[in-house]
Amino acid sequence: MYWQIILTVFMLLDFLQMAVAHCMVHQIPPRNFTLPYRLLNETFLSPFSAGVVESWSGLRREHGASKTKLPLLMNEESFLCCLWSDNNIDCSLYRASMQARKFIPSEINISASQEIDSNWNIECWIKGKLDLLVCSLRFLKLYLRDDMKVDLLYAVSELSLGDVFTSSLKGTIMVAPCDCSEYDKCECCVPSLRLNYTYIMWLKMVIGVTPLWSPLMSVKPIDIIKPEPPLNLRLEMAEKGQVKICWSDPVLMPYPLQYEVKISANSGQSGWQMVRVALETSLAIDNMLLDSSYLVQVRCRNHRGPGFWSDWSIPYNLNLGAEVLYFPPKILTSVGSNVSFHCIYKNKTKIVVSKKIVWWLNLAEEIPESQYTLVNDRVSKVTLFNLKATKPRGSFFYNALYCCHQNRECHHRYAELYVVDVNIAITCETDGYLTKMTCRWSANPNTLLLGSSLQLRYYRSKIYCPDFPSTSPKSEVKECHLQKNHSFECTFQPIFLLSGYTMWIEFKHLLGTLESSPTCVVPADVVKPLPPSNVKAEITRHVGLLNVSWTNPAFTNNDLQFQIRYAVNREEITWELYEVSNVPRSALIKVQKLCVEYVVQVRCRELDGSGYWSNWSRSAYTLVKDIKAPLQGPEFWRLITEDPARRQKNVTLLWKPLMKNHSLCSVSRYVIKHQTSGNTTWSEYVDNGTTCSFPWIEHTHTVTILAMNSIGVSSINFNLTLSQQMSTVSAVQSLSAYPVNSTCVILIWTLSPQIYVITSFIIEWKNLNKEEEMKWVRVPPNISKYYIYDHFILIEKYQFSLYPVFAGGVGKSRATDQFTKGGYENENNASLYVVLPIVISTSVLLLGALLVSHQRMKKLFWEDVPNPKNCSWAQGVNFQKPETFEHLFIKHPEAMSFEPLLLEPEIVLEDISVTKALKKEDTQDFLVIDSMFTKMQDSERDSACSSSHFNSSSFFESSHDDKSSGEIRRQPDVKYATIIGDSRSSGLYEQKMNLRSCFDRCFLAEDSLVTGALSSSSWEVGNGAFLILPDPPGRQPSKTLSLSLISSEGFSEPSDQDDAFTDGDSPERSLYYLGITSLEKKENDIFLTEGSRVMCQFRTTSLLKDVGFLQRAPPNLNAFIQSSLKYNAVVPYMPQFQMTAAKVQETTEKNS
Amino acid sequence: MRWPGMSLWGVLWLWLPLASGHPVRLEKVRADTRNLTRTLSARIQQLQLFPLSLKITGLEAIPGEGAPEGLGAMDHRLQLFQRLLGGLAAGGLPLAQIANDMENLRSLLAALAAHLGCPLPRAPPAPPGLPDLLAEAPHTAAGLALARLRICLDGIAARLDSLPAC
Repeated sequence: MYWQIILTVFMLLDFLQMAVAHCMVHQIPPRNFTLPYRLLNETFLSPFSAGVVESWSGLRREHGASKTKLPLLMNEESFLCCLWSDNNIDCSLYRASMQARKFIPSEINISASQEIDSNWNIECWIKGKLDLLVCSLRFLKLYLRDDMKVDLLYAVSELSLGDVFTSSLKGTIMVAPCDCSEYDKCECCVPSLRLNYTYIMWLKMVIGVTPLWSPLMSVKPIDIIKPEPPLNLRLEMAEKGQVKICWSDPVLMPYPLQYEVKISANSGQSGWQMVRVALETSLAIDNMLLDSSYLVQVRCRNHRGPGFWSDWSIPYNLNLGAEVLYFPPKILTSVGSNVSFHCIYKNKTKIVVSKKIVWWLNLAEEIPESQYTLVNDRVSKVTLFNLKATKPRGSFFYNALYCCHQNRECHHRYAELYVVDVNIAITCETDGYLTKMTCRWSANPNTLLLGSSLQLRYYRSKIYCPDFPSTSPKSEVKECHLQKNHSFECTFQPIFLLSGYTMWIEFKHLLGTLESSPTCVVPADVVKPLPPSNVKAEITRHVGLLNVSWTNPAFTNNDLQFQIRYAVNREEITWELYEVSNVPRSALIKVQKLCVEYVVQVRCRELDGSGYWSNWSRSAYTLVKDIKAPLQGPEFWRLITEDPARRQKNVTLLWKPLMKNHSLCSVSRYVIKHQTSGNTTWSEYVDNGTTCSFPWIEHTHTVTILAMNSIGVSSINFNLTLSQQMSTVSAVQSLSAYPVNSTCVILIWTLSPQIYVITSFIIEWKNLNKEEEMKWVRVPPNISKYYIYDHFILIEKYQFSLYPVFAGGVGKSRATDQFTKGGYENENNASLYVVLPIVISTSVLLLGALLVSHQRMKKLFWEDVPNPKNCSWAQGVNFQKPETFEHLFIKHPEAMSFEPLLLEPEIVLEDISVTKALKKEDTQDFLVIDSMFTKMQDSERDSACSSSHFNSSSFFESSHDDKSSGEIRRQPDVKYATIIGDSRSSGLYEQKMNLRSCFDRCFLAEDSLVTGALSSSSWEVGNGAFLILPDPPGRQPSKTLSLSLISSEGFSEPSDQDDAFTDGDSPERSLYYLGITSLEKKENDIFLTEGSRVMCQFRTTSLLKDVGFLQRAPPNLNAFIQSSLKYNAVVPYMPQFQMTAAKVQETTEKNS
Repeated sequence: MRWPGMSLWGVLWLWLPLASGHPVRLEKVRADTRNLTRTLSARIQQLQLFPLSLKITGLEAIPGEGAPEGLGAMDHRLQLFQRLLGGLAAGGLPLAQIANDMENLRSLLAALAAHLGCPLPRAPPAPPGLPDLLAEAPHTAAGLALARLRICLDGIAARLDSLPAC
């Protein structure tokens, strides 16, 4: 018995020991479970008190319970420490401050708890956002009461449950009030979760003042997560046209998920088809499902550990969601690649067969059918070749590819095509110290997609580059820095000089990754050397070459090529380039200008062409110094001033400073060498200035000026001989100055016909209105025109002088002090050479036409000629006597009635106008006419033909000097013109001397007669012509044959004067009247010329009778004469001519 | 009859560059090796810590000045210097660049040896007490090592003017 008691005691002690050491904790499973609650008096702290569990039947629902509240730190540290077995559960109220006990995880047997009257049905889970633990309580045998309060108490430990003791709960217990607003259900929430920590919890319910406790529970939140249901259910197409249902994971899941897909034929049927899938967010389905309205739902849960299933997702209707499917729905590719798209097109509820599908790009461009492929009767495929980069269109950075029905009906969904240009060139450059390689590349920011990134990847080969560079997964990313010009710069330092760096640009985007084509660079091949140093430049003495020397940069080989650029150092530098290779660090360059400062720079690069040109070296400058002796002496001129006091001439030499290209490069002094006629020579030196004066004493004095610099004196020099004798030689005949503009004047001169050996000319010019110094210039002797460039004020007066310079001295100058009007340009006006011949030829043609017309008008004139026999005044007048004319013109001027015969003003004007017109054009005509008869004149030694051209001037020329002629013209000019009326003859006189001489010969014998006739110029009749023809000497040598065209108004009427004329020897008269008419038109003047010719013909005809000229005359002329005679013979109103003609005919017959 | 003859010559001309490909490649490797040797020498000259006017004792572990004869000896000597320079703590950028050049140079010598059919040289044993030496007098060790390396490089460059022996 004792033994049994002792055994029992030991067992009890053992139990007690165990009870003292542990508290059992129920681990919360990811499902609902049942947990008993115990009613204990808090003051009862006996660990072994089983106590009596009271049951409260009066519990009621607590209304208005608090919502989820923040947990509070609880001072009360009491909890139930329970020990249970399959059949028993024993709990005691315990405090954390009491002796520490170990927690032991154990699951309460439901059967054990069912023995208890009151249980909690509990389910705890973590909400999808993973921030809230929710425990839902249901009371199995209690009713909620208003005075019931439920709290969830918990403590959080980083340790696992086996490592936690009751003492660790001290001061860490939190309380989370539970919401018991629903019927027989409370919900307790614990916020701010730490998923992998251990939560030790228990429930405390107070009904009135009676507390009810639950055993301890523990949980790791990550084990009871209830995810959110999967999202974004959709249909997608797989690569080969297969259809799959896809979804997205809920956010923030800390572990991989597994899924369940529920497909139902329609909502009315209960047959569900379940498909379980693991770790995949898609499930392939039969394409046939698309034809009916199946619903799809998906849920998920922890794939590898405990956890709740999520709720089912929102149902997805396959029929509605599968109108158009693309594969791929989006694609990212690079420029130049080919891509293919698949499409299934369902028009509302009916699948469109693939052969009726057409593809459009951006709804604007239909893709050719040749690019389509029919995968099957439902799936169409299109391939796009050699793609170009997508140009952003507004906010769209892709091309939209549409799958449409061939009836041009498209669904609004499209596939997105992103084409990115990843042909990014990478250029590298190694510095001159061979320690750093900088690689640069740039990407067009406009072609980059949002959310994309670029990075340079590279790997290094040991030495050199591979033959075919390619990307490698063993590459590294090189950090690059964005520069201002949208380029990136990456620096490798230190470098492996002979290693190959294979680089490419990686384009990363959510849609994929693209790579540019890899390029390989060996740093030694892309070296940009340091510029050459110690650059020096000089112009070599005597040789005159630009000598450039330098030192090769460090870290380079000897195989270098160099570029030397040099320029005259001035504000705007114009470089010239000179290239040399493999030279011993110097070069000689031929330059044009030797006396200027050159700036020189040098750069270099590898001779084999690899790498880059170095920067230009620092500038080197040449020094301007004397290279050679001056090439020539200065040009100089002299000023001669006379000193009347000393009676000598002083000569001042002026010379122009020698230019650098002649002085090479400076002039230290000028040497003036003198040599006089006495063969005396001496020199003088001018260090400063460009003038030198000396007295000119000797007859000739030769001066030479030499230029001197540090090298020597000039070898070619100008000299000037001053000679009194030569100063009188005038070799320049004329000099004209033509202003071109304010900066240029052209000087033109002509030389005398005499031939002089001129060595040069000196042109002087000076503004006469200002006290300016004379300017001069030396001009070569072989020109006759010179452009003087100066600042001319054209309204002011300038004097230009031209001196011919001979070997023996300076000749006489020719000067002009005014500009020639009309301008030099007019002379050079080439248009004149075109216009003038046209005007002349036109005038000749007009004249010819008028001549022809006058031939026709002759008849009219002949018809109007009155019969001289009917003129009473002419009867009895012997016109062959000089006194007859004298009488006719002089003796009766007082008896002449002037007033009725006054010329009408307009007639005078007509005559003057013709005079002007005839000055040029008609002269030739006269010449022709005159020359035509020259033969006859020669043959007859007579010039009567030209008598038809006489005019007033001709008469005055024969009898008066120019002065008296001018006086007569002024006073009786109008009258005189009206008498003679042929102003063309005046022109003939002025310009044709031979004609005048001819005329002189004609009238030489009758000079006094004509003079007398003019002096008694009282014949103020209307327009008329007066012609005097001498009688042929063979027939009537003493008589003058005279023809006159006289106005019928003036001569037809008998008058007193007529009577006087009749006193002459009438039987001897042989004056023939060709015709008398009134000449009131311009044509009459010309007609007079014709008349003159006619008169000549008559005269000639008369001559023919005596000398037989007709036989020697040209046949055409002979015929013309004869025809003229015949015409004249038939004029009915001219018996004189008929008679004369008859005489001519008779003479001809006799001769024959 | 003429065309076949021309074709044959044409084929021979076409093959000429291919036949001469190996010598050209070898020549390039030799030229690059020589240039890199000179570059390395110039680099050390710029980095010269102190002139070797004094005789330094106690640093017998540092390889000598004498120029190695064959390619194998060159690589052997360079490897010793490479270890020595690698042991100089935190040599900074200039020494890092020299180390890279040394590695490149050894690769080039290896390529040259491969072209010439030379056997691969064995790795030399590490000089005893080198780490202690470098820790004790790094300045002296660095200066002496660089000076001797430069002399060695000049000798190698001179040897590379013609095709070196194995």
